[in-house]
Amino acid sequence: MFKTTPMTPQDTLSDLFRALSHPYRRVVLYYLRENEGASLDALAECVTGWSESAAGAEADGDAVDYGTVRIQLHHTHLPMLAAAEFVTYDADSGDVTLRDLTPAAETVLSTAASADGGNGELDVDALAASSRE
Amino acid sequence: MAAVRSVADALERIRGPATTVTTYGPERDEALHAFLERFDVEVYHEQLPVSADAGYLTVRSGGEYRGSVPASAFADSVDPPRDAPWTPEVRESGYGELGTLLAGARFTSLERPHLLATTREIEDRAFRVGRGTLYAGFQSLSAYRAQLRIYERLAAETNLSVHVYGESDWTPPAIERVTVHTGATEQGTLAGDELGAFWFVAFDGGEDDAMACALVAEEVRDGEYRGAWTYDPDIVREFTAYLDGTYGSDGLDTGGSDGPDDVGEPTETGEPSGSSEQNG
Repeated sequence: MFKTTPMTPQDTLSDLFRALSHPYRRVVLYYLRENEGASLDALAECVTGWSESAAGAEADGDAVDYGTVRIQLHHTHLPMLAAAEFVTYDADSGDVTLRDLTPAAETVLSTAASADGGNGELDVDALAASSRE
Repeated sequence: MAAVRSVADALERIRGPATTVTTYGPERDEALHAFLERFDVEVYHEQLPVSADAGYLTVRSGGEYRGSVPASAFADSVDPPRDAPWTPEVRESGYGELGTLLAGARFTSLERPHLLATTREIEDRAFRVGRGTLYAGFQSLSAYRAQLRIYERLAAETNLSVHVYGESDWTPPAIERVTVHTGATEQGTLAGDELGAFWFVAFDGGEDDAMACALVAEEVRDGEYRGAWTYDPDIVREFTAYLDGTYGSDGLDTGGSDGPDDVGEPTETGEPSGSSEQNG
């Protein structure tokens, strides 16, 4: 899955983008940045609503339902974010906690949030700056 | 389910599980939150770094996820359209989305515009199905007067049976398939003064349980109502059975006149519980 000790800055950035390549994982991180921690149920509710609403519908064309989102978060997205060291996920309790993010991850997330959230275009300059860190 | 014994009893039956509403967005929509606080629901806000128009809310009831409403529908939720039931304004209104999700939740303080908007949703369901029975309690028949054109069209363009209830302060014209009940008998008023106290609308679904719905609201202060609405066909069935059993379903107890005397154009003024903002 993800390398835990990346070899090069390019590897770091590739892992970062891979972890953030799915809109559900980005929304989970947006939510956690405001809350530090959350339950699986709270994240599933947030992601389902986001997917059903206008902003999410553009990014994720298929119809979603809460149960499917919850299962996908549990089996796929949260383990991937945990492996990429964005979060810790206790699969038994459902508790998800945000870890300290690298400056590059913070920059990429903020830029992506702006684009995902309907605030405008992806800020390529900000991304380019983060890739040089 | 035990028989419903009064309109107040019907309202008691509409009691869904505990409901939570969570809004997501860059900041709390204060108007929306003020509206949600009129309901017996828990309301939360979660910061999310999206633009205001990309926000949304979710509703959870009895632990189950029920659905979401995009921010684009918030304005309609707070200030819903009160146009005629068959108009695009009502059919495409964002109010219906939130209204559906709040079914079963008690409201503690709603005013006439929101009740009228909910009433429009129910009338439009009946209009679309086009058969079955629509029950409408106006508190007083003068309120029905303001809605007369709507009900004339509902009766004329569908196969619905329509029952109208209200205390007799105006004599409505006879309309085919519309039966008017005042509750008045030679012995006094049936079932106390419940017809004057409650605004209600119910549609039996016209043999389609999925379309059954009812709103029951009690005026607790002038122009201020507590109540609930429901899509539970069992509750709707018991409620309408009570109305049929108490006030009759055959039109014998008509408060309406047979002739066209006192029929003038319905005015927009005599409307204690309806709103004049209808364009029938």
